[in-house]
Amino acid sequence: VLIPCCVFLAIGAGWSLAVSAFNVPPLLLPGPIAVFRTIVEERELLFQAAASTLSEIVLAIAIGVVTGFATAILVGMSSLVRRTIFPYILATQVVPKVALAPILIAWFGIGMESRLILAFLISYFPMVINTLAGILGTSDAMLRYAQSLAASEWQILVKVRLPAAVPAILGGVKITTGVAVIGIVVGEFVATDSGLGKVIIDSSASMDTALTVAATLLIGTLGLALLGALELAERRIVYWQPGP
Amino acid sequence: MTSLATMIARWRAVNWPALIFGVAIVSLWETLVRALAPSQSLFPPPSYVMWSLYVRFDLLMEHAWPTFCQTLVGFLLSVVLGVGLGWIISKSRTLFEALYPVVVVLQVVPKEALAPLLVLWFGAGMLSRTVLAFLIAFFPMVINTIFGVRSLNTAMRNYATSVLCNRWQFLTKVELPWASTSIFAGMKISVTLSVIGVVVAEIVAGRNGLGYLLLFAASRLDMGFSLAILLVLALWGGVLFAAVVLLERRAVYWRR
Repeated sequence: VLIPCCVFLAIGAGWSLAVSAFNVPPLLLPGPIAVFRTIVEERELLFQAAASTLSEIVLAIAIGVVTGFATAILVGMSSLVRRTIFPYILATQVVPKVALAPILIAWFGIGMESRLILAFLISYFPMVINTLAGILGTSDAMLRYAQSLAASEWQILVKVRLPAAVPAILGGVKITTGVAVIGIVVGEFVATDSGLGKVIIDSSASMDTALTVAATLLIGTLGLALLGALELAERRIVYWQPGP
Repeated sequence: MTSLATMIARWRAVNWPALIFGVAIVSLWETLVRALAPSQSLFPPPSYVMWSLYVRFDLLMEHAWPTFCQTLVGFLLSVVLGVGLGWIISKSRTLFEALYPVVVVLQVVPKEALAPLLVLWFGAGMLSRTVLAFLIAFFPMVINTIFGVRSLNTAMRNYATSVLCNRWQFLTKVELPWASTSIFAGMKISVTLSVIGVVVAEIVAGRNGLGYLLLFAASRLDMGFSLAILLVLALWGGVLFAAVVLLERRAVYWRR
């Protein structure tokens, strides 16, 4: 833990040194101290924007996880449904779904709805795929054992398949979280009516680079904090598996 | 007779439920929109999307080339530099301990948020988009390479030492083939990400490219053309992905 922290400190120091040594104009890249000062000065604006962004991200994650999980259970129950829909679900993986942003805005306006739908569309499919891989990847031995105990389909799903799928499902939640952040932020770039994305676009238009850098760093911190929290939760939930 | 047999086999191999489902969805969309939608431009039926694709094909291709080139360059850069850095990191214990957590953290950070800053630093042209595509696609390559190289077991390592293979042979004949599965898995992730990177940068700021054209078409509420552009982007993503899969089959021929 110590060495990576030193690396990040070194990056910060290098940034600071480079800015002062080469006389980089603050319009292009302000030093870390200037950025920090901006964060303190503009704390109200940044805090409000971050709160709006964060709440949309959390909402998008919740929607993506719940619907993705439900779809995977439905699709997992029937092999005909699986055969019918799964090729399309896989195909969506190569579609750059962020490109939907302008289309969604034309249909749903520049409000929260467009961003939530974008984040949902990006985060839904990985959740379905991961959950499905989890519940279908149960070992044959386990399934046969459950069948030998005359377990019903429902019991097999709840007591055998789902517990075995927990690591894969949590993996899906992590992917969902990562891409939901991207969906909301890109949505804010295009539908600039609130959030950190709006702060970034506005400040870069008015050449307030310190604010742009500050807001970008905040988005990075938000993403990291969400995934860090998930990582901690995962270690609690999947206690039977050793950490990385 | 054999041709008939293969025909029957092919007939059976087709995923009929999926095919029927696809056709049903498209025809349902077509009929519903024709019957209910107030404006075909705002809610276009599939036939209108295909028509826009056909009518504006030249304009589409003019904007598609920059996007295609930038995704390719960004992707190839991320593969070359990602595999290189991943290999270097996995060779030294100190480097691994110092840099691996950093790489994992950077992998998690939403790099799409950098788009406006990159535009500020590198201008609204090719460079900023290629850089964003590279940045997004780079870290999965590094991580997968590290994972692949480090999974080389000691038996293999000892064997390679016992037959006195030199460093270059060890790299090309042992390490890279061993890590190839993991590297190709990384490439499959990165190739889609590089398209996303270019499109995000084009949407945020640009004068050409499919992302720019899409933003323009959508702002004029020409949804038929917007969806046609999206279709081209999706096809391009599919083509790149298929290329990686084909390359993998060629390169990792022993693991059929």
